[in-house]
Amino acid sequence: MRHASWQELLASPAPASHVVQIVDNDDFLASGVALFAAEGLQRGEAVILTGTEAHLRALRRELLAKNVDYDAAVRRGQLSVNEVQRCLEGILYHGMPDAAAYDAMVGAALAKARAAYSAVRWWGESGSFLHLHGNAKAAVALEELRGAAARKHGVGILCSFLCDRFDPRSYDGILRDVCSVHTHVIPADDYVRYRLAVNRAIAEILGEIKGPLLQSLLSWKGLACDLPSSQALLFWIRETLPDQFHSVLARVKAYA
Amino acid sequence: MHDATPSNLTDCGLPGIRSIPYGVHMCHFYSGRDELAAVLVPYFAAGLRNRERCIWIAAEPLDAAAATLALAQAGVDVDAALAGGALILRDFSDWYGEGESLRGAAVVDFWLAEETRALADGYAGIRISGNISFLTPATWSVFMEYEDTVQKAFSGRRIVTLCTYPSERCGAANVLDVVHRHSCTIEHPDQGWQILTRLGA
Repeated sequence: MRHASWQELLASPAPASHVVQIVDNDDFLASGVALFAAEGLQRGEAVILTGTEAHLRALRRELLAKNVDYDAAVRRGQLSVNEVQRCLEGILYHGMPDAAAYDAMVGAALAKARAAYSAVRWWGESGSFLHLHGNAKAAVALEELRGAAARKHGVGILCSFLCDRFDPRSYDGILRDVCSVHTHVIPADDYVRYRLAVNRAIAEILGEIKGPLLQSLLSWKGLACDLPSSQALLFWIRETLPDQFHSVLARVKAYA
Repeated sequence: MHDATPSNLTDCGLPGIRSIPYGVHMCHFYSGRDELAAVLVPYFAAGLRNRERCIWIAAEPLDAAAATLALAQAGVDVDAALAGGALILRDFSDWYGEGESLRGAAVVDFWLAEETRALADGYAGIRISGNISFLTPATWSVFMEYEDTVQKAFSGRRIVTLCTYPSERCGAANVLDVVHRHSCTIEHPDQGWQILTRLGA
């Protein structure tokens, strides 16, 4: 629960970090990924983008708007662009990602990028793509492989994941699972607004965090990832105060 | 036989909490002036008894003048402590300016220098408290960075720190921010005081 803003986090992701951006609209996806990519290009890093054709087109527009010479970056091999479905076809085996095939694919892409650039950052939405196509199990498995690749190769990886953070069911399933396999979670576009909404909802439903509530919060194990306090609190309430969770989440949605 | 090695423990001063280790960085959420005085007056009185240099950064609702009075009413010879240098009691504006000056490293260096000075003057260590009632949403994240730096830098030093936050101005997310940047939280559930520690802290 350390990063103060997603802009700071995406501008200079730590080596081996595996960040997930929870998105519910394409604009947030494009602005976050474009910042991640533009900063990498500007710092002389290689950038790999793996997304849907629609998102890759939107990213091209965003990068051009940021005065990135997109075509020149592609020509000199600093920017590599890949269509997600084609990439997945090479690594899925009976609907699940094959670790060896994935490793080989990542190794080849990184070797190519590192031929001319010492640092690499990689954006992808393959997990989200699988989830959207009804394969949540493969989505989480693939995110685990991406996390392992980030650690093994010391690259900063950003994933965008389409998910409704106001859907209470996701806190028992895909949202919790996806957050758990990343090092950092970006849960919302506007952290300040989200924080105010969470604070207000909790104050109205639960009251002040003191006494037994404070004790409960302190003894909560939490998720093993860096996520803003606002989002961490929602996971805490889901786990420790399930009877009040739906009311709190509904109010957060109304206020956010 | 006299043991020349100074103890790593010191008296907290709060009923129910006996000893605390040097290097501890505690936080407390208070409601109102009386509750703030109820934690800080015994905390500093114990520090003075333990021959620690006590540095109280006061702020509303208990400013330096009110803090001086509260200590005197508790039987502390405030004039002697101030004159002898055992107690330094000032309003926060003397220590922290606007947001920029809250940036961690320089302030932490200042505290470490204070520790060195206090030890050279024959004190057992320093005891600090800051009442963090002056923060705004705009300065919150900068101050949390400072708390992070303090948490790392004070570990193992002859420094005891208690940061007090007004609970009415701390939403749940603020509470979580604060408790994750301190060694422990002290609470006053009923008669006595207790220390709450984070799982894994």
